[in-house]
Amino acid sequence: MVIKVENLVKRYGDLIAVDHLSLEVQQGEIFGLLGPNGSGKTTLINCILALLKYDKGNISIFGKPMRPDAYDIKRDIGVIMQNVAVFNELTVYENIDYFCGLYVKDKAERKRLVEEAIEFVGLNDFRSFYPKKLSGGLLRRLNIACGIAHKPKLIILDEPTVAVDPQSRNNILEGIVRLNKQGATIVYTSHYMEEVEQICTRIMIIDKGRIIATGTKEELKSMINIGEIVSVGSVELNQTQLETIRRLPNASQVEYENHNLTVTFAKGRSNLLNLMDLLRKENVDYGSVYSQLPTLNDVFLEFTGKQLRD
Amino acid sequence: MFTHVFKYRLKCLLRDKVVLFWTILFPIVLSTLFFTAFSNLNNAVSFTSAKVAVVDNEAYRNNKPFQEALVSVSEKRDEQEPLLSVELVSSDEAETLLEQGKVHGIILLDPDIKLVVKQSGMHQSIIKSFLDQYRQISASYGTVILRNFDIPANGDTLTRFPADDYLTELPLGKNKTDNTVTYYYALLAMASLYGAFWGLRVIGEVQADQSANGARINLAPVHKMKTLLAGILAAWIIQFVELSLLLLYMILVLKVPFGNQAGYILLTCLVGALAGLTLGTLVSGLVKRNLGLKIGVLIGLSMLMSGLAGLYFAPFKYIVIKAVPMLAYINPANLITDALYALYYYDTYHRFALNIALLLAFSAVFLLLTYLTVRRDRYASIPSIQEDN
Repeated sequence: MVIKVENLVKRYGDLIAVDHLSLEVQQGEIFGLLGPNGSGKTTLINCILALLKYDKGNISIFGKPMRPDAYDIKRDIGVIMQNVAVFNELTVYENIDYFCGLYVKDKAERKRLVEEAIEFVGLNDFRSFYPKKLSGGLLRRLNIACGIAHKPKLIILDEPTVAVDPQSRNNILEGIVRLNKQGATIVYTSHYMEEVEQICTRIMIIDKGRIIATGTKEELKSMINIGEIVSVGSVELNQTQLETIRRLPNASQVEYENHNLTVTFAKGRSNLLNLMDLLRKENVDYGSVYSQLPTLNDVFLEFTGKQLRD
Repeated sequence: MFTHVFKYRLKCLLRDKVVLFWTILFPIVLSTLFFTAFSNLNNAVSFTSAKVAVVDNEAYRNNKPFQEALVSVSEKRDEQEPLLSVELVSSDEAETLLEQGKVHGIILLDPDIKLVVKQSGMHQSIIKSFLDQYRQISASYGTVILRNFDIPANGDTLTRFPADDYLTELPLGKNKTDNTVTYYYALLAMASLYGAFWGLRVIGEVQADQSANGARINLAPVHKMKTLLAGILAAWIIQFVELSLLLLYMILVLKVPFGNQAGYILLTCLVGALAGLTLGTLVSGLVKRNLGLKIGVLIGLSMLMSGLAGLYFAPFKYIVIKAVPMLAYINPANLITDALYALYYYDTYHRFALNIALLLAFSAVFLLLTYLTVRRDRYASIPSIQEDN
């Protein structure tokens, strides 16, 4: 086990930021922490890293208690913070070298690691650039390089793709998967469910400092009673036809607005086919139709009654 | 590890153009402005002799004491301009010279001494003062003679006109008094205190609750105090070099007298740099989060301390020393100016040593208090990396 958190409680005055939370992160996984802004993800991470005081609980990393002076543990951890943490007066190369040098004493080895990190994040053409000259995406890549250059066994990334363009975002996500394949255990926090779904092998959804659900994305989706959501576009329906649709097997929710029909089906067979058959029998024309499997947002919605992005 | 951190701290600080501006360029510009202002001031108040036409008549020729008194105040002494510049002319010539503005006044003995002027002014006042004083002394001697005191009644006595009895300014030590140096000393003290801006930066970069970089450094397997000490050492060296450059500029370009004890002056800069730097680390450690507030506190403190040390009005330094001596002893800016002052004016090193010892003591206290404020390992909250979550 790489990380073990037991019954953690962190309060800011009257506000409980982390509420009796326990988790375990196994070696080799990409563990996703998903939750809306203010859900306590960063607070949890800062407690795990021994940056923040907490009121109650136990935290261990690599089987040892995590403390601020646990340098042997810290040596194997790489952290990429939500806010870019680089020195504006140092070039790309110097920044990575500086932070890598806090972990690796040997100059020759450090040089090799810095070169590898630059190569890894694709900043070869920008090595002599100062951070202010880099675009937002390149700056995020530098931020990542500074956190991973020393080849840590555990990498914690806290919202690394905030305010990043889609191309850089893909680049970052691919990089995280590559790091994992190279042997690093990853803890990835985000409020972007698509990212978490895309790369994480196990996901914990939290809200208001409490665990909502934990599992693989398939396990999480299986926890809710939604099989699929079918959307039909440019469709003309009368009240009788809508009533007929509502009586379809497994149809739990029917919405009709601006000539768009959305039917939420509980788990069951042939939901889409049943709807299509009905529309054909009623001689209803439509412009488009697609079926969507439940998302993590649906999981969050079902457990908390609100959208992830609320 | 220490060398690695030190090297990069040095690079970062040396490339910080904003702090470099305030800690070296601004004091150089200010010292140049001082130089320009003082030069004009000195020119404006430079003394010129009062020109006087003395009518060469019978009464004058018979008044030997007056002639000799005139000579005594019209001779150049110790490279200083004489009080009066005398021209012996006829009555008509004297009037012409006065009309043409070539003399400030006419002295006519008829047989009483009379002064004729066309307008009032400083030079006319000087001539009048001379004549009043001459009359007063003449009268005193007259009284003495009438009362039969044992003083020779010849006019020679009056030739010892008290031109050389005026108060003479004598230096207490080895150098001549120069009131403007206090301003430059106070400026150097201000520049020393501006080292606080380095201290502010050094602390901000090791505290997780003050910057994202601080958080990252706290996560590394390096003791925070090691990083902090490397930063303080780098900042101290830079600040000392900056003060030395400012000192060189003042001495070589502006010709400000600092005496000839380069070693002790540099020691003052070294200790002054440490005092300013540690003041900054303390303020940065005590004032949480708000960078603007920290900068404001530091500017306010350095301006106040430099002001009390005579930066804006030199005599203020002495007023403070006289009225609230304790304030002078707890003001690092005053201790720096006083150390330089003691080096320049005094032959002994007691006062200099006291100032340096007090500066070192304050630096040690500032450093200790800084340590107590930043030593904690875990934080209650970390706003620098925790904006949203």
